[in-house]
Amino acid sequence: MSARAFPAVKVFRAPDGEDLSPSRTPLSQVDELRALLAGRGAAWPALLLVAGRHARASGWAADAAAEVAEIAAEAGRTAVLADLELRRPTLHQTLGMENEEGITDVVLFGVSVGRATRPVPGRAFSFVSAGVGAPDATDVLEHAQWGLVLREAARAQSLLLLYVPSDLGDISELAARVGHALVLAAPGDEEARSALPSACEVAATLRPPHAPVLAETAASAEVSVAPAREPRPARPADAPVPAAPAEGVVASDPALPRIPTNRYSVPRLPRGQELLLRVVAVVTLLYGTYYVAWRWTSTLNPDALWFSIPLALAETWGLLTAFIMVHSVWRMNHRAARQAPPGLGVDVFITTYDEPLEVIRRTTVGARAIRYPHRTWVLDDGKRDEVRAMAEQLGVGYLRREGGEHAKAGNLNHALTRTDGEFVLQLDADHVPLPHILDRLLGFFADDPRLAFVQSPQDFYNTDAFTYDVNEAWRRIWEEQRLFFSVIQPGKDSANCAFFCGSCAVFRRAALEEVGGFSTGTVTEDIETSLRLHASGWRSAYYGESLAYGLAAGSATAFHVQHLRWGQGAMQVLRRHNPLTQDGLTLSQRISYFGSLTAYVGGVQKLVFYSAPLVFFLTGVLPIRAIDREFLIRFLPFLLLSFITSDLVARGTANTWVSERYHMAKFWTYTRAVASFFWRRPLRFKVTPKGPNHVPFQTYAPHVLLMSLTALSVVWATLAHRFGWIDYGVDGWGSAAFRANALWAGLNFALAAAVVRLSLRVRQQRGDHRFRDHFPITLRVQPRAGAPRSVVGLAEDLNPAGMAFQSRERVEPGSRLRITLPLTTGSVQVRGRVVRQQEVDGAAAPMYRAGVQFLNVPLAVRDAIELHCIQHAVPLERAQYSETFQLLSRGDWTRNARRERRREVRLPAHVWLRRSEGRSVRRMALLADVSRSGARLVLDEPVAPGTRMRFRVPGTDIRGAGRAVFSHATETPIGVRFAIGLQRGSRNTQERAPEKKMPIAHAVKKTIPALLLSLGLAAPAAAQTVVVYGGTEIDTEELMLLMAGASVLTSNQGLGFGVGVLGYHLTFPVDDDNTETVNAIQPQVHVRYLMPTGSVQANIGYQFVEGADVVVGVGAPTGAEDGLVTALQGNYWGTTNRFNAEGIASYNWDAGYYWVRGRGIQRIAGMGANGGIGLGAEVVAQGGTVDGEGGWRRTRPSRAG
Amino acid sequence: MEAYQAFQGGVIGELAFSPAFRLLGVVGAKSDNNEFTASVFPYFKLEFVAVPGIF
Repeated sequence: MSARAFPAVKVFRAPDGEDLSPSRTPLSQVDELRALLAGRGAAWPALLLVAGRHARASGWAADAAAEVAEIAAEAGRTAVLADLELRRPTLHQTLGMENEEGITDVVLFGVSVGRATRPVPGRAFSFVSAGVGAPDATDVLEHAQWGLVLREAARAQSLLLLYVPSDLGDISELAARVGHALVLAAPGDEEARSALPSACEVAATLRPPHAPVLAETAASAEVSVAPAREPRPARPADAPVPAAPAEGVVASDPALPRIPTNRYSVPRLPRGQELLLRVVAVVTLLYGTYYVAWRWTSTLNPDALWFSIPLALAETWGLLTAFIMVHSVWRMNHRAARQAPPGLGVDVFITTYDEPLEVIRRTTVGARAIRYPHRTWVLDDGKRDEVRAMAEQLGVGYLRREGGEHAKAGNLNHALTRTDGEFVLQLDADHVPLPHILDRLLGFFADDPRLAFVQSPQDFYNTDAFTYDVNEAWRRIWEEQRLFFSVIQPGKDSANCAFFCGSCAVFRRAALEEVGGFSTGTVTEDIETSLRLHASGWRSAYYGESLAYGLAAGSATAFHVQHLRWGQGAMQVLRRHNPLTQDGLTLSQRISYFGSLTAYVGGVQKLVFYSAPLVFFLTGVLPIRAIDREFLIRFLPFLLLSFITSDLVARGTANTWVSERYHMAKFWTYTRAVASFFWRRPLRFKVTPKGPNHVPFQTYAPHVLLMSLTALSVVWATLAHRFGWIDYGVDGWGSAAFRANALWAGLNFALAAAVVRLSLRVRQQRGDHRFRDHFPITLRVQPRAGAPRSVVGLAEDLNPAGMAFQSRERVEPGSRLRITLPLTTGSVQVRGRVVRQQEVDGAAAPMYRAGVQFLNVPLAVRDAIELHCIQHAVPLERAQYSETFQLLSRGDWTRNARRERRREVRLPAHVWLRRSEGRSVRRMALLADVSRSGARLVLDEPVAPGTRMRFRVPGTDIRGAGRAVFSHATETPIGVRFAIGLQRGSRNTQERAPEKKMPIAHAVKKTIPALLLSLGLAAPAAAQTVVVYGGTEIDTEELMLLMAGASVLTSNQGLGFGVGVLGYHLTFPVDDDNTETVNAIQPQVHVRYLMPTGSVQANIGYQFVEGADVVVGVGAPTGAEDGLVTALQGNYWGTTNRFNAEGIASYNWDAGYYWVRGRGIQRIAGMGANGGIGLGAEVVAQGGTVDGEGGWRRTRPSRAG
Repeated sequence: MEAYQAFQGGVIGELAFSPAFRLLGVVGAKSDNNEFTASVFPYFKLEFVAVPGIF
């Protein structure tokens, strides 16, 4: 065993052979510790380092903690050492760091660990200081926020080492949460261990070198210690500092990389749900195969094969793409970001051709602000001198080439010959990067020498674009490419098929050079380059966090131009490198590329589908033999299963109706693109956009045509049938053929109309995007006549050209303003002129909204505004929206601690904070809402719970005073804002959970595909004597219910009796860490009144519960407590079996828990022998009362230990 | 004492093979709250009902 020495920090800083003092040498036999951290402890998200008093006093404990962090880092963990020595923090001094925003801010104020974490210079781990506040240690140690912190650590796959003095206070609750500890004990520190509860395992006890080794329990490993002998081996961080940065290089400040909470957008479902969706997908594919085979063999119309075969082909194509889709997204790769190794050479390329200068400048300013050391280059194929001047002004590199061969690919390849960075980040001219883009993406290359590129999502800031569907009421946002970037790319990544999408990707230069640079053969260089790299044995990766924001296709015109180009490019690639025959690809890669390149055939498929009802109505020709029961009972399940499967595999990102609308929008453009596979002449989209408000007719002509033909065909068919012009072979509107086709045509009409409306939607008249951001501002107003005055306002939107704000005061158009903007990039002053003003209904009082044009903005201020907008305002706004939809998703979850009506205010307010020494300080805040007993304010700084504060909105009588009860942080890459909860009046403050929006990843976890095999409550037949029922329910909160029962009933009409038994098994989460299990069994007696058309039944049972201390158990129809349960149920099945209604109400008298369900189903098609297809509705209500502090699952929280 | 309530409702599609054997699919919305929470989200379920004893 090679004993490796870990010198103390001061020795590390001067590694010149200085003797180590034995008393300060923390550890040497590190192999056991490393084995522990790489083995059993590899999955631990956190580890407590409990330091005894003597161990701390000698300074040894701090050194030992640092060395443990070092060992963890060497064992491959992303180690973060956090200082919980809250009374007198010293760990930061040991590491040569400052004590600033730290663990106190994380726990009490909701700052993320990522933000508070700073790399330790020269060491392989990061550090979170104690924080500058002097909080009550108990508040920190027992705060509920630890649950979130530990989950965040687990999600980031990092190891959070919590350095905590054994005598800080009661550490038992925190220790139980963490579960594992190392004890750092010097002689005399025997009490250190006893501070830990039994729920926390002591993984090892570390002692200073000459401490006697004490016997330990068998459960804990003993790490003995020997003096250090070997010098510490060199590591990359010790390498000489690279040469001084050249022009265009922005050195990163090691203190800066504060990376905010990861907004990773790849949905991750619980295992049960993944299993469920795969089962459903397989069932769908099997059924689809049967259905399509049946279509070909039994339904083709021999009299109209010209129409029958294309429709069958279109359906077959749909099945094939379903196979490819399911294959692509069968499993998704969830990559955790890796720490970027220091010292890599990176060139950032910004390709431009004719984009507006302000767009290029925004991107360049963003690229310059990337924190990882890099060199930025503007690759100007437009050869514009003003772009060159801008690049020089911003101090970035500028490259221009002769000619313009091979467009963007040629431009990039030229730049590759003029630069030498080991890695290349490619950005389109409109894609403004976030500062941590390279920190997130470069780490993947260290793990895999054959990794050619890492792609990140393309996300956009102009959410008013054609491709966006924003629901303000529900705070949901959907983008046309969302499914691709959140599900399909991670799916492709799991089989090494993720492809480059033209922007926001980092390349390894060596890989590009091996395949001769970016591909130039087609107009879509991205997918072709990826295909060639994969064929050459290189690998790709996809990382699903938005790391740049760009401009989405703003108008319908731009959308079609873009998709036509992509489609034509795909056809070119398909011709040149058919993935089915291309050498070097794996089977999965062949399928994946084939699916992506042929996705455009979907346009032709849709064309056939959209035409089918028209052909029927206009000519009387049915594409199938008959629309009859035989057809419907096969077709409708196929349709239903297809929708369910496509929604399920989208893992909550799908929005079927909106997606269909975009399919409708694209069908003709895609059809044209596919045509280019056969007609090789280049296609042009012959439109001349005349400004952003002009939408040429060609853009939506196919949809207008479809609408017109649909309307005409229905009228025509009515007349043609009535007067016998055409023999439809069916009984007109009385027939299933007419009705089904009309339904189909109506759906197409509605989709086409939606597309036309969307295309004509007038965009904002402003030339450049305004970024929404709400923050209080102060203005100095110089009216055209009169004396200057100060006004308080609330900014609404902003860009370097102007802004809009609301105020209680009128500010006349033409007034000159001097505005102080408190940007995250620093406070700046701008001058402006009011160009518009209107009165608006404020939530609390009449308000005036003013539009301001900035005047003579200095370039430095302009760039500061740009960075604030992109790196702060956009992420802040996006954090307010959920991006998951539909069946699997649960978007938001708000907590209303005040439980009373809130009045939304959204006004600027003055806030006075009482400081401990009795004086008050004044701040500006946004008053978000008020209610009788509380208020919510947004500030740029945290306010410690308990702080006395008062607020007043200038120009109104809205005011209040009270104490802060929480301070919750919302972070962006460059800033943080705090929502402060204020409790009015003098009542004692009580820690209440803040109002918050659930993080998306968490929300997705709450999704609910429930498979309920359940409850023979309704037997739509009269004569049964034995009823057996059973089933299972699986729910998003990882609730699982297994239920079974049996009853024997007399079968006579009229009054009858019966006995039965019902049992269930329920597991559900109590809180984030604990799951509870309940088993119940309930003997019952039944009294039933049976009629030919239905029954009424009363059940009385006594439930015996074994299991948790649970008050009520939602999900179990009979509650989760011992006691008397009564139920009343009624069933109606009528005489024809075409309609049935069911109702049941049960009440658990001891749990106070009720469960009511009503349901009605109408049979709409019969299948003989009482089978058929039905449609109906159901309503379920359930509830109960909880005493004490009820948790989300209505349980008494069980506390470990 | 705190009250807890949850509601859900949806549209059912039924595929019945006999009076005793049917497959139900439900798509709808669900709301949930206890003393602190309120949420609304869509739900989806498949239900299968089999009642032996009548064959």
